Amino acid sequence: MLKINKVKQNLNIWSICSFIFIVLIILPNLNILLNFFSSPNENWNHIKEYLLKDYIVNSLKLIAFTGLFTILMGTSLSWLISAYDFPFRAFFKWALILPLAIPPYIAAYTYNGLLNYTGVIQSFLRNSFNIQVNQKYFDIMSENGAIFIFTMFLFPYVYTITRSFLEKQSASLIENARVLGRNSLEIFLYVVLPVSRAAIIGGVSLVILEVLNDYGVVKYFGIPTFSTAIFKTWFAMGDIESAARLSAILMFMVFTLLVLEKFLRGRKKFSYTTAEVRPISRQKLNKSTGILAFIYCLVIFSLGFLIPTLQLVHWSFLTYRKILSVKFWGLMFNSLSIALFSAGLIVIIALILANYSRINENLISKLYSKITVVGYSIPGAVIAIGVIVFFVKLDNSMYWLYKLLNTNSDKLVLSTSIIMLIFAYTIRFLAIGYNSIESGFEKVGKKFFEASRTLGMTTTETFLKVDLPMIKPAIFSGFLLVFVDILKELPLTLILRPFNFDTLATKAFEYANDEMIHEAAISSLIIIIISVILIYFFYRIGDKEVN
Amino acid sequence: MFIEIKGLKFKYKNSQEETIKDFTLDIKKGEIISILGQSGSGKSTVLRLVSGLEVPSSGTIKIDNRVIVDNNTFLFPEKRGIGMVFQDYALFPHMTVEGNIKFGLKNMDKKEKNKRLEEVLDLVNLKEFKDRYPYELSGGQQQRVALARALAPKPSLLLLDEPFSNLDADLQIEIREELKKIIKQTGITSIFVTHDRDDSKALADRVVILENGQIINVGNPKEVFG
Ligand SMILES: Nc1ncnc2c1ncn2[C@@H]1O[C@H](COP(=O)(O)OP(=O)(O)OP(=O)(O)O)[C@@H](O)[C@H]1O
Ligand SMILES: [Mg+2]
Repeated sequence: MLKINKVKQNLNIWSICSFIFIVLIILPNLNILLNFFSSPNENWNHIKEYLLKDYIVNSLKLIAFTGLFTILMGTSLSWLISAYDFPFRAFFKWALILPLAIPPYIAAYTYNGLLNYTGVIQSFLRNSFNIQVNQKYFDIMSENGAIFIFTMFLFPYVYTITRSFLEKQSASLIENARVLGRNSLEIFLYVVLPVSRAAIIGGVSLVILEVLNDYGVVKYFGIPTFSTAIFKTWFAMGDIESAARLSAILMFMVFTLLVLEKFLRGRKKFSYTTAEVRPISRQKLNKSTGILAFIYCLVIFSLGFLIPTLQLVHWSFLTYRKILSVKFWGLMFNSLSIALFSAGLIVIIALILANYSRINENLISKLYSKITVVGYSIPGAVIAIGVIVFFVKLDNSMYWLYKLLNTNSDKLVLSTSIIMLIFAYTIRFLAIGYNSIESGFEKVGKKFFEASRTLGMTTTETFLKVDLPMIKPAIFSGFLLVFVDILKELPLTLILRPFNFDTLATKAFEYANDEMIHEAAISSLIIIIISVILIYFFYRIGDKEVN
Repeated sequence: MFIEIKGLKFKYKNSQEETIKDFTLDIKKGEIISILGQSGSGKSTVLRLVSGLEVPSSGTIKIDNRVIVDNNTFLFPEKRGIGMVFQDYALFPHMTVEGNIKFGLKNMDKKEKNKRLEEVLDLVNLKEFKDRYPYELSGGQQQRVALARALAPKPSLLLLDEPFSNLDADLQIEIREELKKIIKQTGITSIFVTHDRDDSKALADRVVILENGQIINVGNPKEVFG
């Protein structure tokens, strides 16, 4: 009896909507995994025999070295910034986040344009000093180059998470170690690294997920990895089955990584809840070490932000007359409108899911939020395959309906429309909106919800009158984060966009691939500027609140 | 009996033991009941069960012969007509005093709403404060707003969770008297939770002593406290 009761109690518009969203998220991905168990075709045997090893080795190499270097750079910088005083520390504190504003694929072709034979560096050496350099040392389009790009533009994930951990959590530990007469290097190695392990692993996992998600860099540099292989198998060989099989392997790698992360991080969350929140008292570095610290930060900031941005500004001046045409405004319009619309949709779905799981604290709702969040770790290439297979199936099974509505309807309707792209964005970026809104709900707590219920309001009325106005800031920040991520997004947009639908990101990438790097500059700069503004708001202003 | 609570049992999901074991109590119309017990004895939980914020694993609650919970029925909190004053008041921070009080008056027209607002503001003596936001009020004033908000929809039962715990000691006695006056004036049936005997003595018609989720004594304050 009571069972029925509980079911009835939980069954409402919120649970039904949540259920539908979750099913829609799972289905395309399930398709991919199931494909793995069907018997392979001939092409697959060829791939397995000759290519698969390369894909695995290359992907692992990129992950391993990028992971290692971002850890070194991210933790050393966060330690320097949070424990010492040196010239321009306050500026670098947030400026070192800025490399995140430059998507790696933009960085990749900017650096190539900078370093290649006609680039500014070689021209300068040639024209001013008559030096002919060995091209080998200036060729960034290699695996090492990709590792350089990923490291320089993804290390802020490690830096920000570790830094905020160190600033807020470790004051007493570090001060103790100092009192015990340990020198700085010892403290860093034996105290800082171990205590911030969880934060570092959290940050580096994000880096690795980004590397696995990347398509732009490896495609542009011509490195065979899983992302490029999936697209090649699909487009060049027309073998969607093998593409799905590759996707399944990649997905398996991602899940292994996630399990590994949980395991390595242990039961520790990022924060020790018991410790009081108190900033570390910073040590002033003496003149010469202070300047060394300054130079270290400056070099990284220049490589990761200043140089590529200035280069893009320069190219923009060379090309703006040609580029800023009606067509360009069309691109702007496409980019902004699809990002606005998708971000809005994602935030609404995230709101519904987050509200559902907050009200019903049970196993199902926990499972829902896990599924929601996992979408972000699935690489774009995999989502693209999953979504397209799903939509083609959908079109096939709905053909009768299309014909009913329009007798000479095409067979493929949904799968040639922009709905498919928006759907894919939703799977990939829902987690970002969800996390933001969930933490908003957490901050507000449940008591206002309960008070409203005892005052005669239903769940839905309460949501509209109480919850929504109270978590407005969280909704807004979730929206902005998703918006920028969609603006920068490349693989999904490239593959799933309708015919003739270009965005700033896809157009920039096409220009670069057609050896028209200068022409890619303005689109790239716009993406970067919008990202910088966002980072400024989130980190700079967020920081002020804390301090 | 106006309110009949019979064999209420309840367990929080992550707790081993039953939080509430066999809670049974009848309440007359207009009676003021005090639930007294130590921290963690389950006082707040009883109020949450009565108001519908938690679902009991078994037991029945009837108000005026209408079943609000039994094995086949579960009325949502918003359908029960029970007012509640929360321990930390839970005043909506984005609404003024007026907004908070009118919040529960959803089936009235504008004129009726204003009339009811004036009535309850009069009752709690806060007429001049109607345009303030909660953070612009003192603790005692906030508590009175919470009370006015709970009373505004004319609930058949009023629940108060430690109504004095957030107030200064010298203010407590003053507010206690005032609360008594207000409750008596409206004649509303109420249950209030406290861990202070003096509160129970001063306010209650009957005291329920709760220990470990179980009623160990019921009676008027004189009987119970000897
Ligand atoms: N949401 C919850 N989940 C799990 N256990 C809970 C929850 N809320 C309360 N409990 C537990 O149930 C028991 C009764 O809690 P309750 O809040 O009813 O006590 P109380 O008598 O109101 O205490 P206090 O005087 O401190 O307010 C306690 O042991 C408490 O730890
Ligand atoms: Mg309590």
